[in-house]
Amino acid sequence: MPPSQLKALKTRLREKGITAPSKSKTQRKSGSGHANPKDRHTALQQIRDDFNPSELRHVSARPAKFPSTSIYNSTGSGKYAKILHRPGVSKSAGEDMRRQHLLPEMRRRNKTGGLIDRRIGEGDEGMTAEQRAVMRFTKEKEGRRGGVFDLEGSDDEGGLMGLTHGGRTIDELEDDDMKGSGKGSESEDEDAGFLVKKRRRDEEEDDDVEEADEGQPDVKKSKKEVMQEVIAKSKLHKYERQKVKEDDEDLIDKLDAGMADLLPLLRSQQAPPPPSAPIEIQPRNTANEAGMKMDPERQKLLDGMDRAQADKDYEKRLRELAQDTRAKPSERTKTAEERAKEEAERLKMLEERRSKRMRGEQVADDEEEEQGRDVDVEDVEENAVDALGNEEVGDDAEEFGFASAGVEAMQKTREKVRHVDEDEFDFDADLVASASEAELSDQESEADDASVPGEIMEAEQEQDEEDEFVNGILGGANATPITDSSNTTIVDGSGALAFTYPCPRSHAELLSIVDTLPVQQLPTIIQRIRALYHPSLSAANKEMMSDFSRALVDHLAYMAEHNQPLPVAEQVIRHLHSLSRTYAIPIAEAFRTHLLAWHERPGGEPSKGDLVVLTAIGSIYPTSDHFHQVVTPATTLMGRWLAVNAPSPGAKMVDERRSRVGALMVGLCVRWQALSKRIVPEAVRFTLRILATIAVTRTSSTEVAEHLENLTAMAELWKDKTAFIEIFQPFLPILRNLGSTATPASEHLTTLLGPSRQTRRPLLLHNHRPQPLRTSNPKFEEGFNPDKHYDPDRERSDAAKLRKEVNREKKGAVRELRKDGAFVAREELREKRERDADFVKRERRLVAEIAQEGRESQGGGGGRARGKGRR
Amino acid sequence: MPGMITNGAVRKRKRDDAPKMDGSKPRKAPKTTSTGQSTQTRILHLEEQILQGREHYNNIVELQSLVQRYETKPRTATLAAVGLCRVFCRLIAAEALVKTGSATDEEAQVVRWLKGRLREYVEDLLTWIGSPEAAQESTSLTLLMRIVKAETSQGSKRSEQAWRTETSTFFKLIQALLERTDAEGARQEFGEKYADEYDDVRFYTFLAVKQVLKTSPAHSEEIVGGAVDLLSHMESPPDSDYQPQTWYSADAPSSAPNNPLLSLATYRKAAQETWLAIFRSPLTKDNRKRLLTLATSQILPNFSTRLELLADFLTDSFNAGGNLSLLALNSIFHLITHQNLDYPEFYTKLYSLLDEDILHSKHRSRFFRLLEVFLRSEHLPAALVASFVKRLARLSLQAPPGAIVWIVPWVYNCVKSHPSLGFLLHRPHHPAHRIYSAQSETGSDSAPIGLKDPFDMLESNPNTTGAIDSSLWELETLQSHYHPNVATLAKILGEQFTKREYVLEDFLDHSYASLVGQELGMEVSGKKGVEVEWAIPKRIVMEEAEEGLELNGVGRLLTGALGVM
Repeated sequence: MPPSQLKALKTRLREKGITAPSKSKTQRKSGSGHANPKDRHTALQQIRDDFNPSELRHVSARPAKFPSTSIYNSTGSGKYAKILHRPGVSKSAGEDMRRQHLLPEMRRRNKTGGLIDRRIGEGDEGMTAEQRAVMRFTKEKEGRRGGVFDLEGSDDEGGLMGLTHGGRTIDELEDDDMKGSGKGSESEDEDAGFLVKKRRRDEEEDDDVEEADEGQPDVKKSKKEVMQEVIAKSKLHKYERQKVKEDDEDLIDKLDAGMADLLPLLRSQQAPPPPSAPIEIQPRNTANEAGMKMDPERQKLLDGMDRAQADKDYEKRLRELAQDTRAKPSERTKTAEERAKEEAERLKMLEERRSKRMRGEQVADDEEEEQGRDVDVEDVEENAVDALGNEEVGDDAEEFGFASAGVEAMQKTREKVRHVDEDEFDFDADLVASASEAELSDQESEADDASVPGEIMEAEQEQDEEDEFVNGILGGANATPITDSSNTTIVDGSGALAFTYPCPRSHAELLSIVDTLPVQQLPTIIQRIRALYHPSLSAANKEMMSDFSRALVDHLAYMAEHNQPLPVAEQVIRHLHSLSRTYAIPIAEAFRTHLLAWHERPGGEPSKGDLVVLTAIGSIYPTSDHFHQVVTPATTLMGRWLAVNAPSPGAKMVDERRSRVGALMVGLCVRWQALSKRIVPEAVRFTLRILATIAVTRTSSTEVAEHLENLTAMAELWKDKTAFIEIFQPFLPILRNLGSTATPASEHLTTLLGPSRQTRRPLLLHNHRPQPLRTSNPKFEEGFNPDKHYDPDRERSDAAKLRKEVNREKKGAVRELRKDGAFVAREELREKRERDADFVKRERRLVAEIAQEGRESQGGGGGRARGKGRR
Repeated sequence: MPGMITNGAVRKRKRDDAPKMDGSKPRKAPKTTSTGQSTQTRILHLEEQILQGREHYNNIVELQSLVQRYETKPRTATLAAVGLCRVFCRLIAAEALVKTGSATDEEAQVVRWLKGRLREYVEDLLTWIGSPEAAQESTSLTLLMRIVKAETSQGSKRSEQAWRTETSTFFKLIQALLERTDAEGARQEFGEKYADEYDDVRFYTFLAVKQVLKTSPAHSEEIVGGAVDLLSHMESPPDSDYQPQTWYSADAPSSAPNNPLLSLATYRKAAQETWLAIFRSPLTKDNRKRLLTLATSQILPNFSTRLELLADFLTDSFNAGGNLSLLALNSIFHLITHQNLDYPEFYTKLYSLLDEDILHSKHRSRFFRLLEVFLRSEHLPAALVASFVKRLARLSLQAPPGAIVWIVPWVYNCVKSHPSLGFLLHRPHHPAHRIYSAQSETGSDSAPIGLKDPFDMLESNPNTTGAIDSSLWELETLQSHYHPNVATLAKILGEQFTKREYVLEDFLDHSYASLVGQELGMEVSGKKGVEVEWAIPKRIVMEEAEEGLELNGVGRLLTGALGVM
């Protein structure tokens, strides 16, 4: 038999110490007992829960989920803590709430007009009448606090005494009307059902809250007051500003007074200041009550001049000042030491730039563009990686600058190709502008670049060198232009030369001048033409000189074709070099035209002119560059010639022409790579083959010496390469066959091979940091919660959250509505029952009354009636 | 009447082939001279007479004499030939050349005589084939084929005979086509107009070619060359749903199931035997090359049974070395993959093909394409692949940029598919590596003698070259190739291998021409300008010596080169 509930309750209460056996007074004083009422409350609640287990809904009411599905059934923490549901409590709370709000509304349903009691606490069933009275009293007191005669209080807010309608102030009412008219809900209200009314009810409640809020802060200032305050403040500030300005003006006046003494001093050195900035004495501004002087510009500004115009003026003046030559301090003469130091720095910088170019990096001023291209390359690579290797959209080869295969097409439709190439730079919006900049004369560009100190120095240097080529004429008519011993003869003969020539703008024109004169005079003529049409003399000269430089390149090839002496050609090359400083692009284009002609010549044989052009290219352009518009094609063409013309292994005789031209080309290749030490496989192959052929055919001649020289140079050049042994080992047996002439070269090779063998180590090319694995969604989460969404896409996760919330709210609303409906039905039933009961009661009463009346009326003749009835 | 139609057809055909002879046509010859006109009318007259009756048959002799005088009077000869052709076609159609059982002696004599004339006429026409005049050649070919058509359109039995026997016009024509070395035009025309168009012509051509090869007294190389040439002009062989539809002879073979013309097997057999006959005969190098280029498209599909014979031929070519090997490679690959041919020592042979010239050969891209296919398998031993890699790397030290450009990404792909090849690029010190152990054998650690490359270039077996223990110094050196793009490309071997594989097809067809064209095709960019050497040298080709100036190194080379130009 279960123990009695009452007994159990008693023991529990005692255990918790809520009901203790009565203690003595001292004990009660010393023992704190349950001092904290909160503890007591929780203890009581616990006991209650224990005794009413059905009041609680445990989480375990449903079968437990796996932790991989949900985390709720395990004892979570924080947001996911175990929650005790009390369905009974929440149900009764809901019921109460409905009774409070829904019921009165329900009662008022289908009723128009009537009086709504908006007094505080009216209709609130949770309040006793006493409480209501207290609330009303305090509210009234609160409203009065300002007092009717309080001057601070505003007119329209006389405490609670303002005009009200429906328990609300007029202002609020206006708002409401606005709302109503905006929505056009007047008509809706009538036929809209319960929900709308509920909404309104909510609004009203909100309003109540607002009202309460408004009442809280202490008395507000009126608008007028606030405005006045603001005005006063601004006046004060204005006054202060004027005061400061006045002080400044006083100070300036004082300074101006002393100006008269200073002016004579200044005038002795400087021209009077430009009239655009006059020091005018401004007429006193009468409008300004302080009577102070004002800057004219400012005055103009105040008078309503355009702000933009003023800004522009300011900028203009600033620029004028900055560009004023007098603004710069004059350069002082440098000491010899300083000059040497500068020169050394310049050389160092040039060398740095060169080695940067050699490594294929971009020199400083091109960095931005390079970054742009980098991005492009990255894009390409990204594509490649995305598609996992095989499915790239682009051409693999193109990444490395190899245009896709159609070789012939490339040549034939060069126009098209050009177009494609330009596309590459389409993103470069300022390309056009910069191109035109490059066309500017050197002076201008120098001025532009003046910010870089190195550039200035370079420019100076160029100037110096240009003097060497030009000044001879500019200075004195027949001065010795170049003080080399070789040129004395030239100058001697120059007496017969004219001093002025029309500037030759094509090779034909140049020929018409030069042809009749001795070849030796050519450098002098060039010098004179350069002096006569120096770009500093006329703007048109620039173009003329650029054409002249083109013609000169053509003439260089022409000279070689006609076997004109090399020293003269050398001078022409040097002139071209110096002209390249200014007309780099036309000259480079002319060289490239020659290369192209060679490239397209059937058989690919170079002409004499091409050989000299190659020599010139090697001297004019930095051959160590990673890529150079002129040098790279030239090297490739030489490589092609060497590859095609290497004698086959079984060749029985050596073509002398081939051998000599090849020797020159190999020699040029080696010299061009002197700094960058790049490898030219074709040169190796050619030398190897030709030496082998010579060894077989035993045609000992001077050519062998040339090739051996080239071989030694190559060995010296590439001795640090890891494949040195592989490259040069095959030469040894051939050199042995060649006999005594090749002994030095052979020995040289052997000595170089030794250390190369010793120092060589297996390759270690892949000392990279291991690549991190690509992480992708979902990434690993510590303490993964299956109920949580780990979507890295913020927008998507937000949307999902919102959707879920909407769903939950909707469900909740439907549930609430259903409960409301149930409540309404229940209430209606109850009312109906009450009404019925009332009716029955009334009916009974009426019946009883009637019966009694009947009885009473028969009071006299009661018996008669009875008697009648009986009858 | 078929003869009439035939004539019309001949005329039409002739007009197409030899437009300049149009003027001599009787119908539209307003401008011809009186003598020309008279001969024309005479020829026509003679022709008509012949057709009228037997008594005028002697006119044939007269016409033939006209035909034979081509050198002096080409136009007349042509006309006479056309006329004779018409005559013979009609005679054949009228069965005038057939000896019937009931014929009298006289009749038989006439028939014999006529046959003799026809033979003579054909001989005359055959002499025209291979003449330098294209019109003449074309005319004779057309006329001969008319005769063939007439001959093969007289009942199935006699047609068969006309196709097959060695005395028939068709056979003689084929023989002439093969024997005349300078009859390329005629061969091409025959191939395009007849063999490609008509299934029976193609079939019997195969038979005839085989027979010619068999019977020709000397197995001369010219005949073989002619045969190869003729067969190369014929379109590729039919596939499995072979449905012969077009017939040259007027009486199409019946659809009897046992008709040899209708079955693919017979066709293939004929083609196969012809090819084999060609293989057996002596071949010049050029013929071999032609055969090998034809092999995959024309020859291989015909071989269904006696593959080993074809394989023998290919193997011979493959072993010959040089370009022949390259060309044979393709067909051998086809046989290996499609016909399950077992080729022993294939990789050894392939490895031996990698010599200095292959990278400079014009078949380079073709070879590379195949090489990539052969070595793509991940099941190949790494040592073998390493040998190929190392050898190509070694060769690339003297290779043109176009070859290097392919080799580098190929090596990349190889390393990707055979991770153990990674040691070729990255070999940290470890005593287990042979390259280090070899070092410690030769010298103590304190005084390193240097590493000997374990790779043996002379070893012919790719499995034992020791390349797997080596290192690719060559490709590392090429990272400083003179061409910027090649150098950049070579650097991929030193970077992280993040890309799965390079599409080698993109790297195949680069050459000097494309590289130079690409560089010179670009315009000089205005923005960057052109870098110019900052210092102007005092001397370029000269140098100062004790007395005046002397040529320096470049100058000497330059004058030397200019001197011999």
